[in-house]
Amino acid sequence: MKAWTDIIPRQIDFREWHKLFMSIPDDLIDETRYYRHIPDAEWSRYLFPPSTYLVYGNRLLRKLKFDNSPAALRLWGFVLSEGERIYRARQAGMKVVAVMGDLGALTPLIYSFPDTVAFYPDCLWWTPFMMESKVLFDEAAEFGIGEDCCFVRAALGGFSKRAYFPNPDLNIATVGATCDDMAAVLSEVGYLGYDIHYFELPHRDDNRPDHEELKQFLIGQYRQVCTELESVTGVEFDKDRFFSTVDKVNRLRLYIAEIKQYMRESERNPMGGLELLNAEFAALSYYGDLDECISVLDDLRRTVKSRAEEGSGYNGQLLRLIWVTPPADPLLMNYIEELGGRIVGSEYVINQTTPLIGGEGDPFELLAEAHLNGSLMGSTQFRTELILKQVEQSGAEGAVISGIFGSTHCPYETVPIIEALRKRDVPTLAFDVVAPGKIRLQSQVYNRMEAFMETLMARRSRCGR
Amino acid sequence: MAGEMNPRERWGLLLMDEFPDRPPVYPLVTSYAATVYGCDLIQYCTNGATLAEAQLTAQREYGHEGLSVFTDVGIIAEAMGSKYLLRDFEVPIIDRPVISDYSQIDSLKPPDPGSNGRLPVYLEAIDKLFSTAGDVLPVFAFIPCPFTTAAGLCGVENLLMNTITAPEAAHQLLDVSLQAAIRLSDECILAGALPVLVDPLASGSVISRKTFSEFALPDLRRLISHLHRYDLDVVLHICGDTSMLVDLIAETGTDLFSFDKLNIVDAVNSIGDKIRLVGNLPTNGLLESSELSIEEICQDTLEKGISNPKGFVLSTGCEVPLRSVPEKLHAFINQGKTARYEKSPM
Amino acid sequence: MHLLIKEKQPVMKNHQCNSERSEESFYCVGIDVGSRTTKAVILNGSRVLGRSFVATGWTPDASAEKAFREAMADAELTPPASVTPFRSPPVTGGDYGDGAVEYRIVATGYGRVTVPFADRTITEITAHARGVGRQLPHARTLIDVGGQDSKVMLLEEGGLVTDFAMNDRCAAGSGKFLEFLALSMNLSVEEFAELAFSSHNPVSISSICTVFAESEVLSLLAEGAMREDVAAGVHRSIAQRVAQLAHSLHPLSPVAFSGGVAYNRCMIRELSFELGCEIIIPEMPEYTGALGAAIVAAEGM
Repeated sequence: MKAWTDIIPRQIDFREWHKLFMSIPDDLIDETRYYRHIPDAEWSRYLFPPSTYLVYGNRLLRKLKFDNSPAALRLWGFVLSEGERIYRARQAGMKVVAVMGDLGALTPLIYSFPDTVAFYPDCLWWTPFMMESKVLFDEAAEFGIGEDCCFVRAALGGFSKRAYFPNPDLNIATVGATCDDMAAVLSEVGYLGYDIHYFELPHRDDNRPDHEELKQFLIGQYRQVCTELESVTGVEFDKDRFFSTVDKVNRLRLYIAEIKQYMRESERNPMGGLELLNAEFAALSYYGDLDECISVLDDLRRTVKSRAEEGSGYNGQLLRLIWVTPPADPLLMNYIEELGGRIVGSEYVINQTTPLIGGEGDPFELLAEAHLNGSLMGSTQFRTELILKQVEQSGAEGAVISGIFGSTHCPYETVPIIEALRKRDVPTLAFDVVAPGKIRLQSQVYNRMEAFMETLMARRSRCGR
Repeated sequence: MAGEMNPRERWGLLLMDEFPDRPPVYPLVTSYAATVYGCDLIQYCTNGATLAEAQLTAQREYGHEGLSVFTDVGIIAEAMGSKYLLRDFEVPIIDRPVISDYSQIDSLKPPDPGSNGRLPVYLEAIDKLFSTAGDVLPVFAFIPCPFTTAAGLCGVENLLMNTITAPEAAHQLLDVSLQAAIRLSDECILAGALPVLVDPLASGSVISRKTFSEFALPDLRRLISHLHRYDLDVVLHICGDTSMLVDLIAETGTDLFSFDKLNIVDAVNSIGDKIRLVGNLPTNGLLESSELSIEEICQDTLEKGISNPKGFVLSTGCEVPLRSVPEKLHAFINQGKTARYEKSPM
Repeated sequence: MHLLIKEKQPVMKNHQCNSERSEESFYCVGIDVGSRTTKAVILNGSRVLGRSFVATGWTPDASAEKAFREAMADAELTPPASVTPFRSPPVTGGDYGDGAVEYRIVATGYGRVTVPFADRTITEITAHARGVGRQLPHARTLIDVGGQDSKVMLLEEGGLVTDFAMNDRCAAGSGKFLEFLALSMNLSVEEFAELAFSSHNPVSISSICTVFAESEVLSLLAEGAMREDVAAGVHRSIAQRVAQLAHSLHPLSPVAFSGGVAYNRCMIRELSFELGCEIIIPEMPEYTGALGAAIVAAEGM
């Protein structure tokens, strides 16, 4: 997508986007569509400003800051239209697969079936924050899943209310080396009457060099999912289609890696942390349309690249930060940017989506091999090393860990990660993200972020950077 | 109760061509909210916080499924200079139009919603409603359409006369009214409300089909196409008799049509495959003097409306009258909530 | 804010040329709006000219203004007729007229955002660290037990924070906890502290929640525990929470303790016991945050 006007990179609010939107040529809006294989679909446009999604209840959009590039706007439009897209997929006769807990490992297989799309009900954890609403959490609480559980409990609210995604043709849930809270949520989803196919993900012992046994186990699990998909779609697994999908998925993964690289290496910050987060999460289920998602990320990659090459970007000597664990409340990331930070690296427990999948051989073995390298099934130490490597690559001056109160893995992982970062003299701020509506706790988190940034600034001036 | 949808969720599904558990029940509770809240209409029409509080109070009392920001159809014309008479217990009426001579039209400018007339009242009310309850209840902002605003700028009779004797002047008035409606709509959207376009003077009860085609339809189309640029679902409300206009309604491009005196079966058959229908309890049925059975009419409307292919919202044909009988409104809403969509995912 | 204020006794000589004005040519005001009390310090160069201490109450903005005016009076400066937000840039090379001086105001503390006339706000972390950096430059760890939360900071020379930890989810481990339990024994905080200091045998308080701790205290007393031992136990409980926070940072000696609670001899004793090291206290520790804010103001923001 071409830029429609020369713009100086900066972050703008929804109001500015609304005005800027008037300068976008009509044909560009008309051309930007998902499910392009469906002709004359009036609903398939998605290049709209945040205000469009605001009136449908995403109240947080009033407070967020967005990158002002056309590519970023396109990304936001694509992300915010995902909910509707999944409904439209279903209306257009496509198969819809809900996939949970594996964080991006199963989707290449699902998308290699024709007219089949996947989505993550887990990602509904953003909805209460985007809507500034307790509705989904209150709904989960009706089943006894309350504040002592991770925000993924919003997914249970979604399954119960049946107003956030269409009734899936197939539900696949990963258990084992995943979040225990998700498992608690899943058992309630089962009680609601949904059929769930379980994918078992074993823990990986990072001290054992030989993963053969694990790999064989994973291959078996993948085969079972494949059988389920064949039965739901009525189509046999096709190797050629698989490899053509893998090609696309690999391309998408490369784009994301490239975007991350520019974020890390550019002198000036070429884009906001939320855009990077949206780009990274595209690797989970491609926001429901793999082809269009590739095109969206290609646009974003080109924008970031050209900014990096031109040396343009946001103003100021921003503090370089690594963000660990995705912030359920997107406003937090904006806030740290407002305080003078930029995101140069991130560890969102989704790095099973980063390795390229091999292009030759047994499909299930290739998937298993790619899966085996992820941090989800690995140890905390493995995850910590991934973080430290990024710190080293990016010259990060600090790390922010946004935990989730009530989640099982955050308390276990956060402390060793902090310890490891402190040993490397990387100041680290860890806090629990506050659920919507708890204003007093929220202000305490803001206070800590502010103190943290003051500390980093003082360190920098001491070091004479 | 677990598994129950809220109004925001019902409307959300409807606008994606899905079927919620049942049609939303959204009678046009506008100024009637002041009666429920216990304030006079001058306060209601001039204070955004009061308007919002009254809307929230009425919604809590009746449980209808949407918040409505509307005072009177003259709100834009007033912000452009026409004088309106505010009254304690009746809705505002026009006192003196700003245009008494064609030569004055050039001086008209679209108003600034942030400062002119009572438009800031609108924006304050929307902001308050959206911030307080916008996660579970959609907020609707009623925007007077160009034809109705033009009438407020020069007087109804003059506008109708102009359509015959000075069509260019009429179009000039309509043009500036369109710009004004666009500006107000944009600000309402930014405050979090979905626009409901109201054009009571373009009703078949007031103008002919020909006048509608020539003077109301083009600007309605432009206004709706402006809103479609943002992919917003547009609600068009025309009260009175629209039976002679129904095919032209489809031409406006509206996504939802809120109607009054139009046979619901005819509406379903003629435009129901393209347009979601919102209607249409005769509002006199809510008055003390009426002997109509609210439950029966409600049931009848529901049975016919629920079959609309593009979806249906149970509503009133016009604003809920100020002197409605509370029990009758309760009965209408409660009866409306008993409906169920067979295709619902529940 | 650059308030033009008539002095009673002008002390400045070279205030005509703004661009080359020294640190001494400004009055630097630090206002620490805490949850319980508001403190102000007026600094001229490295000299503290005045200070004040007022209760925050329900209107932090009014207390901030009151603290500012009282500190002005303490410094024998005439307060301005009205304190209004004034954020235009300073007049470069401008003439301030006879006896008129420029003020820079930095607010800190939980109520800092409610001070409309502040030029800038900083968090209490930075403020306390900078204050103690001036008072006790050799301190390497700083503890502040505030009204609503407790903080531990690792410091470098001059009060630069290298890392910090905060307890902020609940009142346990904060000054509020102390006050709440003093109240449950019908004592002022000062009386409570002195009573506790007389004990050498603190009882163990197992509840870490303020609400549960109160009933635990009352039942301990009902069971015949000595009042001073119970009071000391409450202090120990807080010290343990703070020490736990400190240990996560691997604290270095010397450890300084700032904030009003640093007057509490029992708390010093218990913290010293829990951390296994001596605790040093700055002079007038309740003003440390306000002083730090004034120092930041003096550094030209």
